[in-house]
Amino acid sequence: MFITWIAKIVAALNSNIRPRQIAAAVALALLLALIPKANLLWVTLFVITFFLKINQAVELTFLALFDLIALFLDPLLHLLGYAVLTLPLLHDLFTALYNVPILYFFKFYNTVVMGGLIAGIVLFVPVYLLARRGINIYRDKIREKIAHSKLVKGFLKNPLVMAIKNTFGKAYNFYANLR
Amino acid sequence: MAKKLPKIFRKEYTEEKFNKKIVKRIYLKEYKEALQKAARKTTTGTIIINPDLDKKEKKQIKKIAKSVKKNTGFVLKGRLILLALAAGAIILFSALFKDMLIEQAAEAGLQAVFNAKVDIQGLSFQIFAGRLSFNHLEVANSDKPMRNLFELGETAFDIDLFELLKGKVILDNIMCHNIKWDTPRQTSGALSGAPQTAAAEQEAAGEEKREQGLFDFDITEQDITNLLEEQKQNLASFKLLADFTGRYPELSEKWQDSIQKSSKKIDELSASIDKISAIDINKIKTPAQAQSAYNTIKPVLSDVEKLKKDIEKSSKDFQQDFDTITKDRDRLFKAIDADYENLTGMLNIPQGEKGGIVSVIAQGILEQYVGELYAYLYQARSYMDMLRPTSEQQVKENKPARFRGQDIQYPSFVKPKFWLKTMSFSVVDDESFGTISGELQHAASQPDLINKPMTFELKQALKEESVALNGKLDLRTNRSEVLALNLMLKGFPFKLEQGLEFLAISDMDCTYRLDIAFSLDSRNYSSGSLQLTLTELAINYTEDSLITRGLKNAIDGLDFITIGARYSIDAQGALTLEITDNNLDKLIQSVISSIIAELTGNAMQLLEQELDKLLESDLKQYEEYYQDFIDADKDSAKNLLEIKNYEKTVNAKMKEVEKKIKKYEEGITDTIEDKLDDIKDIF
Repeated sequence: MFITWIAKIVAALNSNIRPRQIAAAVALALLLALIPKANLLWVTLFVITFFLKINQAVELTFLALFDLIALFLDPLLHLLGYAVLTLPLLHDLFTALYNVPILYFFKFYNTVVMGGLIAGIVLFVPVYLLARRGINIYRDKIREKIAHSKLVKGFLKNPLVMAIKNTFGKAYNFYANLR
Repeated sequence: MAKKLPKIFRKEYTEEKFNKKIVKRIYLKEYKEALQKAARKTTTGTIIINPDLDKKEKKQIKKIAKSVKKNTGFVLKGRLILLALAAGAIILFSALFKDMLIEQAAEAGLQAVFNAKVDIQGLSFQIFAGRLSFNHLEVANSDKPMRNLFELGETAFDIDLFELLKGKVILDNIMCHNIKWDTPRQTSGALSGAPQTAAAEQEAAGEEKREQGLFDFDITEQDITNLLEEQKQNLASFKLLADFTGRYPELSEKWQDSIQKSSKKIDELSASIDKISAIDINKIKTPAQAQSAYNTIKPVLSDVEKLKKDIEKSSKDFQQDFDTITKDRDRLFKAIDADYENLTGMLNIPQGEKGGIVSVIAQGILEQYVGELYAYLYQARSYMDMLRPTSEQQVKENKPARFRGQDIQYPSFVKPKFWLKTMSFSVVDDESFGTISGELQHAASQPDLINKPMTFELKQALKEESVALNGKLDLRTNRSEVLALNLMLKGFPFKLEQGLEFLAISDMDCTYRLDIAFSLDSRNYSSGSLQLTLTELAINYTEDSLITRGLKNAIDGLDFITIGARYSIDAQGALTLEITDNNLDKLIQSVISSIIAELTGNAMQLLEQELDKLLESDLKQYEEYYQDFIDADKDSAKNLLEIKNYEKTVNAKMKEVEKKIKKYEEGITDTIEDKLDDIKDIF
């Protein structure tokens, strides 16, 4: 499973996919990871990502990764959310939103949800830019070096890796054709 | 045949456009190099891809073209189209099959509830409006398959879908037209495989007639005879008479003998007394004659004195016995009076202590209507209580994997789990039910959250009859009055078949208007008032008697009967009724009182006669004995008087004789003294 995820990321990095698609996938994965899942806000954001031209494989992989990190960030997110939700300036706004029937299910009034949303939005742009920059650096400078390194060449010549590569390649092509 | 270039590479591009549309969308170094190699500038300055590429290069160009195409836009149009198609399919499905499926599901669900066929027609569910409606619903009666339990006409439910998503059932409005009950069906409403129900409930074998407190209007001679026969051994007078008649003959004989003996002795003295009476003192001229008279009187006087002494003693003893007999006589007649009183009490003669016809009517009305209301509303309350969410109903939540944070509460109108804001229904000109309209508001599982009581109103009109009911059910906490309602029934026929037997009334038909105010507090104590007006009275009596005729006259003279009452029902359901106003009882009471007085007089006279008859023979014998004692008393007195007279006579004659003798003695003494004086003078 983990190898599949890594393979997916490697494939995305090494294909002619726009860096911003991958960067957006990473940034959205962070946003989705920071927001607890049992609410309509998360479901809505998650569903929206399915209609965006982002790399879903990267998104899901980083979502799983960020989820682990978010577990430890929840207390901080709670503090952040609590600070925002109890701001007197925003009290009337939140009261109005609270009484809008459908928004109730977004659970924006939960401190961790609000904290995750705020943190996710704030971190979205830097993470996006950082990821894009990282992808560009990788593609321009690192990718060639890795591809031509003896270690990789030797690794790729391993029969097992060859078999995996072929299988994954077929699956990837099938997935790409579907898209 | 050589493969063609991909479409995007068959065009000519200006350099600017080529960079914008192609080069900018290539992010891999080898792709850029391959493209530069394949591209060339034309004479006009545009850029094209060389069509004469070898197979490998073409394959590479094809891959590049494919990736360039992918690197356009931000949205996956294909997926959006799929979404749109899916939405369209759902909408189409919804339009074509949704109502049908819901209709079938609803029918199946209701059939499971009612265990009989359910037919829904014209069901429509507008999902976004949250409106479920149907044109007609009929539910068969499982006990009577050829009849419907009820039918509903056009009906609509407005449901708050957003609240439904929260797990709360908020019904903004339920509107139902043309409700019908117990209507005939064309086909059987029994479900296939459903167990056969009993054809009809067995009628009660017959209710036991109430016997307590019945007025017995028919006190016959036979009843009294039987009563006396039963109570004979318990009558004190009867026992006394037996005692007296047993003891008195001997006593009477004893005294009669004694008195007769005394009389005889007196008679025996009468000759001597006559002889003494015949002595003429004036005719006594000599001392010897005086002495002779003295000697005659002296023994008679002695006999008279002795006899007098005996008679006085005997009379004294007799008087003692006679006093006892007189006292016995007092006891006897007091016992007869007491026995009469006791027997009168046993005749169960009505004393007018009954609650009266009004209380029976009011009791009947209360039992008929308030009892039903109490039962219905108590049940309604229990249903409302069942709506309250309990701790058991709350779903156990799994422990969350993540820190849950805190839900910040903002001012909001928290709605209850269930809230029926308004429900209205109507029946228009139904043959059986007339016109009915009703409304119910604010039936909620947690009334405290809406801070409103449930209110309801019902109106029905059929020909001359009409019903109006309105009230409120308040299950908010700390409310002393849980339920309050007012019921008005007008123009209904009322038939009372029980409870008036004590007035010899078999049944009573009338038309009435009833206003009931009913309230129930938190301790399940109920209280309220009623105002009842009865008109068009028709009363049937069990018999033609003095009472029934009197009642008939009294009631026929009334145009209407009004009854006002207060009542209370305790937590155990015991009813206490207090009549506050009525125009019937006083009238009936006066009629009954006069009739009762007459009945009582007749019955008591009859009893007296029968009691006299029962005691007659013993009493006659007693009276004879008593008369003997009276006679004996007289004889005794006579004897005493006679002996006293004799004594007086004898004494008087004795004194005269003694006086005469004394005179003679004094004459002799004087003569002797004169002679002695003469002799003295001689000497």
